Amino acid sequence: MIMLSRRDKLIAVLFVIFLMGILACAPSNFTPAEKKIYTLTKTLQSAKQFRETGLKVSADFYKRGLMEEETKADIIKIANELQNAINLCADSLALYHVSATLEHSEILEHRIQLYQALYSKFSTLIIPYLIKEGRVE
Amino acid sequence: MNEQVKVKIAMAGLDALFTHGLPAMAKMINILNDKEKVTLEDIEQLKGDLDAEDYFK
Repeated sequence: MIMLSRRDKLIAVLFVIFLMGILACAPSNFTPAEKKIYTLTKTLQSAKQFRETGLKVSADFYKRGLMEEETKADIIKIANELQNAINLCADSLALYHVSATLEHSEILEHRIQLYQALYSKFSTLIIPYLIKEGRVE
Repeated sequence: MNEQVKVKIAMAGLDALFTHGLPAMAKMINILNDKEKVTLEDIEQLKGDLDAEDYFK
């Protein structure tokens, strides 16, 4: 076994701290506004994908006679409202992308809140069917 | 090992770290940070039709 002296251990620890410092200070090619745009875009992309999957699964249940008309109507209504909210967010995001002003940021935040509420409603309606399909545990 | 040789090896190691190691690390961090920036086209693709009813037809 290699025995390290106290001095060597101290040098090793300092080297690790030095490397961690480099990692923490490493320049990122994203500005805060770009980070926000990136995160929101990825979030909305996955929401759009989830909406599509949810609609396919629930439509399959409906066609097999395992869903009531009332539930189907609710899902259609909320899914359309959700896509509309995503469209509004995309409009605001495009404006924010061109000019990241406080005004654009506030409008975007407001629309994101609307989108989050609708996403939550849509998830509540869809998740029981995804569980039945074995897509969610 | 001669002290001078040890110093030379240490200096060569540091030189390699600064000339190759650190730029490589910075590059790796940028890759991990998702270097691809979002374009207006990406944002435009988020938009979709209000077509929920079509899935049930």
